[in-house]
Amino acid sequence: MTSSSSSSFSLSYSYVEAVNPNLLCCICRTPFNVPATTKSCSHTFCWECICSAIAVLPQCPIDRSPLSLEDVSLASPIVRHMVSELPVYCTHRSLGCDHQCERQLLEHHLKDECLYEPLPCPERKCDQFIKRKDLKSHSHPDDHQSCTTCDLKFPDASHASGCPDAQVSCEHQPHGCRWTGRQADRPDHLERCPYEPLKEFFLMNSKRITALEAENQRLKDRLEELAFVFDRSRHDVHAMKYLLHPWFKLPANASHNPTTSSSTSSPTGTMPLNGTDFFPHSSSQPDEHDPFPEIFEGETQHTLFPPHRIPFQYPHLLPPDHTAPPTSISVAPLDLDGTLEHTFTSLRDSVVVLAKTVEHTGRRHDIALTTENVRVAEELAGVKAAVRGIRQQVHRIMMERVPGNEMGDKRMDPDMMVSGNPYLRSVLGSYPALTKSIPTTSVTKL
Amino acid sequence: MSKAQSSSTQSNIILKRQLMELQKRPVEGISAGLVDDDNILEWEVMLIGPPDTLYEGGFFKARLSFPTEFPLLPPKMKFITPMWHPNIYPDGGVCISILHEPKDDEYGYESASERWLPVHTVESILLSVISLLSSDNPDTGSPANVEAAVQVRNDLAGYRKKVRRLARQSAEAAWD
Ligand SMILES: [Zn+2]
Ligand SMILES: [Zn+2]
Ligand SMILES: [Zn+2]
Ligand SMILES: [Zn+2]
Ligand SMILES: [Zn+2]
Ligand SMILES: [Zn+2]
Repeated sequence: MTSSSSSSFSLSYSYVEAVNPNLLCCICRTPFNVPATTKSCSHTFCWECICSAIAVLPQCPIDRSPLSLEDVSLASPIVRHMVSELPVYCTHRSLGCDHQCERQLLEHHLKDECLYEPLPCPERKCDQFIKRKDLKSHSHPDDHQSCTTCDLKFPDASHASGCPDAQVSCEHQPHGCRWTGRQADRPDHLERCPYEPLKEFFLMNSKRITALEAENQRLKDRLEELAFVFDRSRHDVHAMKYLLHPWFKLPANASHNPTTSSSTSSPTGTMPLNGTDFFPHSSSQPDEHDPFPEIFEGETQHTLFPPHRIPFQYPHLLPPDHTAPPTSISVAPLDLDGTLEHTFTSLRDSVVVLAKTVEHTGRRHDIALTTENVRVAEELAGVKAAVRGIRQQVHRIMMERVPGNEMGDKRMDPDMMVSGNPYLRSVLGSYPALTKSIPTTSVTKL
Repeated sequence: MSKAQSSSTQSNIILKRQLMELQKRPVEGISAGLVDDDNILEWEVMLIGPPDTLYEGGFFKARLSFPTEFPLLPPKMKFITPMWHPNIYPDGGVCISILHEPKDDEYGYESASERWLPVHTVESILLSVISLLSSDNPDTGSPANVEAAVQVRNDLAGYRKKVRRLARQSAEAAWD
């Protein structure tokens, strides 16, 4: 019966504290071994209990509702954890083991640690089960026909746990005890061994070290994980930097490259990513500091524009003549010193400036046109006067040719005269409006 | 390891625990022990006649025989002390519904809801038997002891007298 411990574990547990009644199986009246819950009525039993109960009668043992094996499933993880974490005594408590642990760890204790766990003969020479602590001294009569240490031919009871003369070291040797001596003297030594009183301390310490090692491992894993995340982030940042390229800025206080600001060869300031190669034009004319010719006089407060700017000149766009002296229109260059936002702002400002320039030019053209018109009108008036004079002269000449008052029917119509005269016709024909505006009556009255 | 063996191990352990429980925290009117210390399946119990009943002052000895499938199947209970009751066979066998296997049909007349459930314990069985004895008017439908049942119906006074006498005798036998 004692050897059946592995198959009916649930029944051999000895619990340290009274267990919550809700965790008791009502068939075997012990805490659930492998908790199983019925789907139909949600009652919980040990898996083995409910299976064997269904085999006897396919009903729920509590409420008699019909039940089959398919209706039974593992209970929720909470319940399973609650029972597997119940504190239990070692199965061999009656033999002297006072170990207690969580129920789920007992199997491990018995398998690997418990000094009182009966184990089969390590050499398979006999059918005996030997407690783990007695394993070392376990021997068979034919093994030790003669003792190699003390040359005893047939070891007697004194050799039950090894030869008393065998050289052994203290059990606290791992902690530093240097004692070695006869096995028979070891119990005496243990009483005086300075390490013996510290036994508990060593135990505690080694437990702590194990815990710390575990923690250490966990932290290492975590670190690896974080390093991976970090690598990926760094990759992302590089990609980002590449995209932002000239606009990527280190924080203002980062003393990244303090010489760049004073260097005249790099007017664009700190360019950590070789921005000058990327935007070659930005290295031109670092000394041009007059971005505001008189055309912008109304708004000289362009504080947004940093000093490094290159005016773009469009001389061919200006009217070819007079009034304004030839001016260059200055547009802020692509400013790579500030942030991306700064660059956008300055571009926008440039657009505003251009718009103003266009408007201004338009206005100037209007004025020039008006002036031209006035001049043409004046010239026209002069031409009109000349024509009138010529007409009068022509008339007088005609009158002189026709004698006295006998003009009568033969008098010539002035229009006829004009149309008859090819020169006049060509002069007046090019001014058709004038032809009509010259009053013929005034001519006839003369 | 065969199934029967593991099941018998389970019933052994459960019975051991219930016996220990009963001995550690005795229930009033009940004492329990093993017939043979090596056989956990055979129990001897002593019921003390409940006060204010015909059985008051009596000591009634009975045997409980547990199947290896316990607690999936009920034990059998048999009085050794002579009893006179419509629900107790003349040979002492106790016939109450919670001791009836839930699957057999021979007791088809009684409601299946009163039959054995694996959640019952020795204590709950014995308490039901005590409550059976405490009833003033025993149920005479489908009796186990027909003669006793007839007497309950026709000659209740005679029935009571006979029970009282058996109770007295049981007390005397207990002191012998
Ligand atoms: Zn159970
Ligand atoms: Zn149920
Ligand atoms: Zn142990
Ligand atoms: Zn061996
Ligand atoms: Zn020796
Ligand atoms: Zn030592």
